[in-house]
Amino acid sequence: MTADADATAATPAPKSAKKAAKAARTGSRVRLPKDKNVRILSAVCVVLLLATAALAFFFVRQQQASGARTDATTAATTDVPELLSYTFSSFGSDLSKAESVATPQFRGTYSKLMTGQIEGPAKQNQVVTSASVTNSSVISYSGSKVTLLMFLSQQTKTKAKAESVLNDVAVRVTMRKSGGQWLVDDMTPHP
Amino acid sequence: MDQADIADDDIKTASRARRGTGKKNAPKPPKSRASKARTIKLTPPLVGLGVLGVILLGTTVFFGWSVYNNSDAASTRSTILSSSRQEALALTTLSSQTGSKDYQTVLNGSAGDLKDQISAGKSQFLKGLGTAGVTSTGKVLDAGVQSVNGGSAKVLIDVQATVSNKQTANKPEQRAYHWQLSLVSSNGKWLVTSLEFV
Repeated sequence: MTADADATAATPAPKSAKKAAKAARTGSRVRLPKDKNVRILSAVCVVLLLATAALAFFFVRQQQASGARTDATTAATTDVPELLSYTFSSFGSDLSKAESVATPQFRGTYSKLMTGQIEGPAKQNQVVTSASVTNSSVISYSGSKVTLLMFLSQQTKTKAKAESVLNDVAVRVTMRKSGGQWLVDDMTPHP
Repeated sequence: MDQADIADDDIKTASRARRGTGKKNAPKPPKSRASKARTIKLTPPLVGLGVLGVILLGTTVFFGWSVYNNSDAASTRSTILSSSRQEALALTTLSSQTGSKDYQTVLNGSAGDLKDQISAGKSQFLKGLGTAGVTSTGKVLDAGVQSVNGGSAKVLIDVQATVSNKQTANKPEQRAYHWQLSLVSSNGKWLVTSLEFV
């Protein structure tokens, strides 16, 4: 040991250093309240707080799912008829309007079907068709996705027949929340 | 003299008092300091935590009850759909060879008006199946809940049946049924009370 080191060890530690050492000793442990009852009640409150937080989380999710059911059904009641209605003379604009109620994913499928298989015959036969929802129900639901069974009445008029033809159609519709809006994500007509 | 000694003295004094008088209504021994120390002193932190605890307990009970009710509602919807599918299948899966059994299956899933109608027409039902030589196999394509109000519910159901009978020259034909079923809860079961074509 050097002489300098001995001198340092012999010098009494300053008061601030003592305080710091004490703070370091006491600060390394959690300081519990002295009163036993306060300690017990604090623990109970922490447990209750955690339970409340967990239950509140589930409650909010359930409320969102319940609200989703109503909102998605309302949106589908107006959106699905738009997808199934068109007039041969305004096919392009009807298609654009219908595309606006579909999710980007379904938009591609729908456009492909409409332009590839429907547009030609529709213009050729001067088809005018309009659909309206007669009944709707919920198959399953979550906060962001709702699947519905809808019954629609579809009225179709062509140049070949003077009178309109009425068809009852059943479709399975999947609605998805996208950008705060409920949009049609899938639509499958039943045979 | 420490606290334990004081407590002992107090107890001894009380015993002497009881022995000395020998009366039934002997004066109660004075409370020892030790027992006094066991009483909870209501300090502000303790009161605050108590109030917080009560509030938290209230919110826990509220959310717990609500979550339980909502889960129960989801489970009820699932049971309703299951019962509807079962009865729709029973109504569309019939054969002249298993007429009595099919009839009973339909009856078991029904209640109210529908049950009355089916019960009243048993012989007609069986005769109709037999004379027409019906064979029908149902398939539920989809079913969804329209509404649930307490013990009653409405369901939409889309059923497809493959039917063959004398009218179809025993060739299978596809038939689609769009039904609205009304159900009631009875003894823990959901039973169909009416069926409407929609």
